[in-house]
Amino acid sequence: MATKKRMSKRTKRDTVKSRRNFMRQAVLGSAGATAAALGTARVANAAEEDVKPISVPSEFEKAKQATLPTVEFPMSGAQVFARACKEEGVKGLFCCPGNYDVVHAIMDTGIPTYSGRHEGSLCHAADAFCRATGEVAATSGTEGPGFTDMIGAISAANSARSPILVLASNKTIFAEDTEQGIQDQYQQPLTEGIKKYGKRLITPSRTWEYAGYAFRQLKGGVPKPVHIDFPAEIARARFDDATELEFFYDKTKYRTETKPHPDPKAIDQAVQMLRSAERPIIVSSNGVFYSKAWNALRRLAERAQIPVVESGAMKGQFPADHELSVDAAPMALMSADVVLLVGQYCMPTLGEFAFGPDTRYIRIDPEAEDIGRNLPIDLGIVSDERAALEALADAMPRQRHEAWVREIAQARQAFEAENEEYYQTGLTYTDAVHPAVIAKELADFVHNGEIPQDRTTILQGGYGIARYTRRYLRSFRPGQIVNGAYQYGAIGPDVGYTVGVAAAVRHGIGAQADFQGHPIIAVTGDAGFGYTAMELETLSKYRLPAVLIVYNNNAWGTWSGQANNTLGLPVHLFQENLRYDKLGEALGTHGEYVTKAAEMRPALERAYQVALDESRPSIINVQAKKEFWQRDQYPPGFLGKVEPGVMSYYH
Amino acid sequence: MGGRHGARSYTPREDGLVVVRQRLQEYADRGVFRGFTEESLWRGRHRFKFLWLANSAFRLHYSPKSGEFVLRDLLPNVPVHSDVGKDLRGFLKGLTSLDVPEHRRIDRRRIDIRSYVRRGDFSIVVTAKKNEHGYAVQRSVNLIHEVFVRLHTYFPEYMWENFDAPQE
Repeated sequence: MATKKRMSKRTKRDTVKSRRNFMRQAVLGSAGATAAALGTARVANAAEEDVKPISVPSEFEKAKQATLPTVEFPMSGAQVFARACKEEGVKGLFCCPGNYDVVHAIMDTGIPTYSGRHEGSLCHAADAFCRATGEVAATSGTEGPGFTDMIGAISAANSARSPILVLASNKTIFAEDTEQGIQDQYQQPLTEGIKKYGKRLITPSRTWEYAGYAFRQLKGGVPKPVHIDFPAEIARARFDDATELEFFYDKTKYRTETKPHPDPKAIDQAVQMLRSAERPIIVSSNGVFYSKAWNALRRLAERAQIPVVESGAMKGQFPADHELSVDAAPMALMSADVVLLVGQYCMPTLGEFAFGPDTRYIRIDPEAEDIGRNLPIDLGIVSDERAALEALADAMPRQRHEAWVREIAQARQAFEAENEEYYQTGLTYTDAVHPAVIAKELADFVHNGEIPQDRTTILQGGYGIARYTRRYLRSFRPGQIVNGAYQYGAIGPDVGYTVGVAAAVRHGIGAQADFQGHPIIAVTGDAGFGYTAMELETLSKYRLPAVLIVYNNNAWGTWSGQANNTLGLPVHLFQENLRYDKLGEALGTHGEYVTKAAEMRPALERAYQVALDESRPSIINVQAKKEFWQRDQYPPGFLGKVEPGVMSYYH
Repeated sequence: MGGRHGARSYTPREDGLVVVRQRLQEYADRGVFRGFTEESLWRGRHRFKFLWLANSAFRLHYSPKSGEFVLRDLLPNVPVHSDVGKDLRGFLKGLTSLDVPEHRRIDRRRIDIRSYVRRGDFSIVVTAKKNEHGYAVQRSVNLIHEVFVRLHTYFPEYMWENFDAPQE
């Protein structure tokens, strides 16, 4: 089939990691350069010949050709901080205009930079970039309103334990409290409780020193946001030479790359517990991803035949098609007798994970302060996740748990059968597209078709639709699935997240290195889409090859709880049959409108082809109906969930 | 499902209460229960209360003499003919099936299970056969867990409305 052959074509990669190339990518990703120059996207109607086409400004091309400046003393405070960011390996910056000195200084170092329409959306992008790559991303907003736009996104990143570096301008120390001009605000208290560390810089000579404070936090222990404010006295300070800066030395002198290793006695105890278990399970979460411990995880699992289930803000540390994966076998979880929790930073309370009351727990976490919170432990191990998993893999004898693996296989089979039943039921609803149909068609497209199953990075967002897509989508390699709203439960970050994931894949950063340049897929709902929809323009102007599926059921996900509330119901409803695809076209994306089940797969294929051929984003507006959440009218209705595993997203 | 048993043919041993108390205390000691109390009621019955999967305590009534464990008013707002009620009755019945893994299967040689609804509140009764009080209390606690997992899986709106579970 011609379409499929074309789809298997690899997008062109940049193989030269030159400084210029970094800058080129910063301004306009490699795969998008050609398409951008063509400027082919047109507003809705081709017949409107006197309407100028949507095009990317020529300045983008000029910027990509520009060479990076050489920055040496004398340097500004912003340049000093930017140098620290570069040397510490910050992999991306997501911002809106504002905080100009810092943003431009960072861009001048060659760190890929993306600018969008709303600071909150771009902060979400930075969060998703971290979750997809495992690397640090920066985000920036201007003082006052720009910064406060980011608060919700910082909260979401905090709940997801993402190492984002939040940078904000902060007018001047001199004018503090005067309300001179506009946007005067003392910002640090606003991130109280949603950051790991924060500082408003006040002493120019300590700028480099405080970069050290920031990166010690971002690179050590459990990651969370770090928030640094830059008053003008800092950003515009001038340093003639290194003697004007405190502690101006290499990062190896202000922080260490060494990690805490496990107590050998604790490893012995863990081995004893795991050896005596009949039905052990390993829960792999954020910490396995950030410590890049997936090889050690697999070694331990295979050596002792211990099944693995995933949770967390990203998934794929353990391949879903492995016989030891419990990701899609939720009903087996209750059988576990010993559970080894590794890097489960966002710890559920008892009962939120499906393990039973007789389950014993071992928890590995790099910070002792969190071990024992929420979930009572039988053994706690303070350690870097990779170090602990390697120690366990070395210490564990070979074991077999064949009966347990068979039970998991049966549970997986039952789960897949249930999914198939939902899909077949969904096909019988012909007046709109049922979420099970969307989920199944999408999963077949990315996992079971011409595209290698591990290729496509997925941003799995949405509200009700996510209850379905999570059941069908799988992760086969680290960073393949970024887990949408996660514990903070924000509705609406998804288009912002899409920018971050698409940027991560474009540049092949961290866990995305082997998948550089490939299109990504994102899923959201119509309610969430409304919050960050303008970032379609960001996706388009940077020619990020993303396919965004919008589940359009004309309502907030909350509507079903008010279905019998005649007076209150309009609070939960939108206009019906809105054309989000047209909105996308107006912002430079390709658009598809799907109203029947049979149209879903062809729409996916066309959109993916646009991503391949033009490196241009698409929106697939899938028309559903709100009544699909009513179990009595449209079984199976609104679905519940079991954690951990494919359905998990609270923790 | 077994029926209500006013009198059993066996004579419970005196250590039934000791075993039950010990098993429940172990859950409390391990931190599974966030809080745990025991009360002596009339006619030798005992009531154990424990905080665990919900914000209010579960109540397990135990009669050492009859070997009966009652998870009284475990779930509110479950009318007899409601979908939730029908599903749970089928679920409990299915726990004796050979399709259920052996370690989770209800062994009918050792206990009987039945449920009832009174004023819309759903209760489960586990009755120990012979002297299987330890097994019965362990299964009773696990039943609470399995019922909650099932409700989270198939009836999320029930959990929002009755146990303040998040809607998202």
